[in-house]
Amino acid sequence: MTTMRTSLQRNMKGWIQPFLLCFALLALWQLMVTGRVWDSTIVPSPIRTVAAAWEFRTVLARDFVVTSAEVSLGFLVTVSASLTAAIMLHLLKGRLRGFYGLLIVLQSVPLWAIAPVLFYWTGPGLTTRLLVIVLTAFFPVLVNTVEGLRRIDQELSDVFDSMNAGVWQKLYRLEIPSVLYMVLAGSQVTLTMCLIGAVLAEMLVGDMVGLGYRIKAANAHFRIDLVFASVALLGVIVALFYSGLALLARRFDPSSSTKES
Amino acid sequence: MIYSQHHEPAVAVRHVSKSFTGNGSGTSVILDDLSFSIAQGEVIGLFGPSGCGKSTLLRILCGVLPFDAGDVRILGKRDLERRGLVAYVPQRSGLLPWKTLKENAMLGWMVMGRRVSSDRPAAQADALFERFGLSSVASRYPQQSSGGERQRTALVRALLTPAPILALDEPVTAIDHITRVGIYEELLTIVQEGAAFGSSPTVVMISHDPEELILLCDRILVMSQRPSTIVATVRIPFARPRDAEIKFSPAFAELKRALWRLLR
Amino acid sequence: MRHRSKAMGSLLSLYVLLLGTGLLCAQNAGQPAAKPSAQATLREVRVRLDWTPWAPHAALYAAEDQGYFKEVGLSVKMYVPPDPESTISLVAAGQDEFGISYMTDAILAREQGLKVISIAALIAHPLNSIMTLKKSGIAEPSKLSKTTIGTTGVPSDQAFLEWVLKKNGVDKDTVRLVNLGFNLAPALKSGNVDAIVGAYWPWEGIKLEEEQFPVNIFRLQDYGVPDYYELVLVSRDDLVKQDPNLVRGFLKAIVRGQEFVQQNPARAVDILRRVSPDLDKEFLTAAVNATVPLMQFPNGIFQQESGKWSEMIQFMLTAGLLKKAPEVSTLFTNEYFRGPN
Repeated sequence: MTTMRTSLQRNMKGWIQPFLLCFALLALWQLMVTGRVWDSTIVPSPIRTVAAAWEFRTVLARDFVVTSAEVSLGFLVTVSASLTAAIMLHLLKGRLRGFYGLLIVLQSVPLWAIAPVLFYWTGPGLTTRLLVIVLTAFFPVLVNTVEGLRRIDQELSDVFDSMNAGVWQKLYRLEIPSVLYMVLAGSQVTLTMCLIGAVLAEMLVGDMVGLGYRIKAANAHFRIDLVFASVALLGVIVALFYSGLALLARRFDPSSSTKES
Repeated sequence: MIYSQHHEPAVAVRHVSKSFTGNGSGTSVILDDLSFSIAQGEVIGLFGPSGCGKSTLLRILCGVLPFDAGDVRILGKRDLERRGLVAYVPQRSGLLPWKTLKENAMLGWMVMGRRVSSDRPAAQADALFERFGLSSVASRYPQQSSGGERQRTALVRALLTPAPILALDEPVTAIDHITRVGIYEELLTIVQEGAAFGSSPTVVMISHDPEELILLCDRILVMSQRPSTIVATVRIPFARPRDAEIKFSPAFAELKRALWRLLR
Repeated sequence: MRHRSKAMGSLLSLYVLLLGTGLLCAQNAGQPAAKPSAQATLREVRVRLDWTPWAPHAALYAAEDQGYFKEVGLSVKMYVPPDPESTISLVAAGQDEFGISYMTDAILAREQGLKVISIAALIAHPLNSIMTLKKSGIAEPSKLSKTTIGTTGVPSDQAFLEWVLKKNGVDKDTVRLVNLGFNLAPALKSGNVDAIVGAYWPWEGIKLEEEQFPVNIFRLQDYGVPDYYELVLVSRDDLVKQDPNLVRGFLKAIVRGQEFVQQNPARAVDILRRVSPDLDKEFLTAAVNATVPLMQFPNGIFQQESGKWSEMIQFMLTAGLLKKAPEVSTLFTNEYFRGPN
């Protein structure tokens, strides 16, 4: 019984502290603006931000749904694509080394620079937005996964070899689970990159919906209160998706639960 | 433990050399014409400066790294036949992150066990976990466990395979000194217990710590900087069974001094 | 152990599911949502704007709202470009049937061999201007020496500025240029720059006044720059040749749209607010009222004069923006305002 109560207490403490901190920061922010320390035409107060969110609630609701959908779809496609690519690269190791080097170079090309050129072939619409998201997220995730695989690879591989494990045994017990594991472990990074990609996609690809577009337009229209409100909603998306991921992870990979100490 | 002809050396290394081709910087010779033998049941230490090729040598003995010249026989067997006779415990434990400690410990049996019958491996695993103080953490995952727990799991895994030879790469380097003492005692027990039954494992271990090697080993092979050769073999005269008290004897200090001098 | 392989199995099936979903989405997305069968016969047309929707686009949106496009068999969708300079390339690449762009871009595009032609002018005069804060005391361009001026980074904006400076006796080497992208107004307000060029007087001008930052506005055409069309409607050469009725219908609809705007400015504001809800009513009303008079064309709504194009070519040659003058006849045409429909 005591353990239950203390764990509830711990949970409450876990919630209260960040909540109080948030509240304090918001209060400070409001003071800075009301007290004219911060220019209110550059930084809106929290009150004005909330007011803007309310004023544009129908528009923002639609933007929220659109951006969430893009992030979800982009995440699915990116994970599938990088899983496939990671497995291929992993299994065909040495032979694809040149290809891998090319990928690293491609990764460093800034997407926003080549995107307008890319759009000559793809046009506006969801497919193009998904393309931007996948392009943004795919390379970093792939490189992450492959590097991670390399790091855990050698010692584990040696252990298997020393046990005289057969090729299929190694594949089934080591290589495939490794790839799946790395992708799962990197799913938070993937999500972040997909969100960045979604915002970028919306700023570049011409459909006039989505939080990224809203930020761009509101900024051009001098409505920084709407800009901040949209950014806040992006934060909500992040929080929602991260929790969803944590839930998924717990379901499929119990080892991901936090370390008990 | 499995088949072993009593007088066959556990490990026989003759004129083994190994080079690595660098990325454009040409070939560098790591091991240069090494020869040595290890008798069954011996505990051997590999001692030498950083980067001198101890791990390379160990991996060659385990059969996971090819070499360029010479001959390596484990219990008389060579090439692919000798795989599976040396149980490898790498520096960072080499555990599968997606399996529990207990599942990891059973890995050796799972991979090899089909070929060599071993009765009730789960029960054996439980017993060994008990002995190594891992029972309470058996269902944890590697990243939820301490370095010491992971290393001990890797040791149990090695013990659960039929391999008669243990190869330990710096088994306690990443572990705090207090936990180390526990592991030394366990290692000593394993070696000495086994000796009482006539089937003690042969152990090859790498370490930077001369104290550790003097405490545990029968002989210490001192290696030079690259290209490595064996510059000296130091016999450890302490009788078995040993206990940790020998650390405070003057002979121990002498041996330590000797080893440090040999490093230069 | 069996639990683990179950997890592995579910992971693998999730993977297959992900892959399948991804492929399916790639297939279906990009297609506009299915329309009711009554509209199945409408031809879909894309217009790439120059900016987010506002006053100069009123005719376009009025035509859409009032069904003028539908009457000529078109379903028109507007899109925002990644940046204003991309519009003409997107049109040239065939992504969009029509685009709203600039005379300078159209001329440069033709010089580079892009086969794009201006089929209408949307604004008869420059919107671009140089602005200073009234409180800076810089009441004339001649007072701009030894100042810091913010630009958009677009070469023609810089050329316009240098021309005005030259015509008003200011040595351009005494002026420091700062690239602000399109964030011109904040820099002017904060005093980080003394003046800005590339801002539109019905946009930033109105906004700044609204925010209690009175400004001096130097309209380019008042200070030596030729009086050019700020916005033009472009399309591909091959499209207008192969499908002249499409173009004629489109232009007919936007002319009607412009008439509607002239007669119903308040409703035009409402229409625009639906697509740009964060532009407030006062601003849009002021902007619409400011831009409607700029749409008076001597030969008819949106119809172009070749003299304007020749003047702009001349300006660009002199300013070093252009090396080889394209044929004026390849740059614009009014022929789609006439003919069978």
